[in-house]
Amino acid sequence: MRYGRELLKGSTDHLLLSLIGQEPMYGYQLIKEIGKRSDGYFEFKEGTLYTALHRLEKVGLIESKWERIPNGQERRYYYLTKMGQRVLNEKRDEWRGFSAAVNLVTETTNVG
Amino acid sequence: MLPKLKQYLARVKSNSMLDPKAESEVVRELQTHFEDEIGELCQTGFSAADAADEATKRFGAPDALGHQMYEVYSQGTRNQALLAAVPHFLLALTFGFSLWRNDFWLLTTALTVLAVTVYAWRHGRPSWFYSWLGYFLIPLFAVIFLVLLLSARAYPGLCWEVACNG
Repeated sequence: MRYGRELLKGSTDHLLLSLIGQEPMYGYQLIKEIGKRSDGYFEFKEGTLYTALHRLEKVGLIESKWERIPNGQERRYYYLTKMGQRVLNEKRDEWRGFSAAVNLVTETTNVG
Repeated sequence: MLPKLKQYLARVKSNSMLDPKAESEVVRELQTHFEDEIGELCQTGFSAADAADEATKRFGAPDALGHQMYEVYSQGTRNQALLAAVPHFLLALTFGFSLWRNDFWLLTTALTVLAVTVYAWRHGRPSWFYSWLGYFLIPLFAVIFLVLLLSARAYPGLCWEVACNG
């Protein structure tokens, strides 16, 4: 869906920060989680995900650590930093304001 | 590792042009992702080779991924810019204030350059390391030049013979 993809592009950072903020995760886990929670609506291209994760880490919003998972293998887990938490709160407020405004406009359209 | 994955990761590496430490981190992470994805695809009935094909397809073009990674890492931080600039400042101070006459300053500068270069070499050669390496090599080139100059003076015939006979 073209519009879905465009929306996803603008919301990538918000989605990733939200998920990592709830629980530290690694790349593959993030892709699966986003697909599951959005009921398959958001489909991240793996390349896009890793570029976004590394960009967010570079600017200090998240940090990573290699950790052992139960099967003995290591995975790179991402954690939210304090700065990341601040930015996430801002993005959340921004999104709430935006979606509330969109709802107001569309509801008015329906009534008229 | 499956040949398809090896090939894919090699193309990501050649297009990302990252320093060795960042490159090995990126490749290791992508490799673990492939392991997970291929494992899951194999459970649904894919053969290993088909699973590798499918997994690389889902990742997108390796050249594009490499370029995007390059874009992420090529934007240096303030600290990196500062670290890359410090050896130039040291040299500018040395000549700007005639500190090349001050043995203590020269020794301190040389030891600092040596220490930072060795440290950065052992820690994955980050991008700011190369300006330090450049200054680290100056004394080496100076010694080579001096040896050649002294050899030419001590054995002028030898140098002429070498030049003529190869």
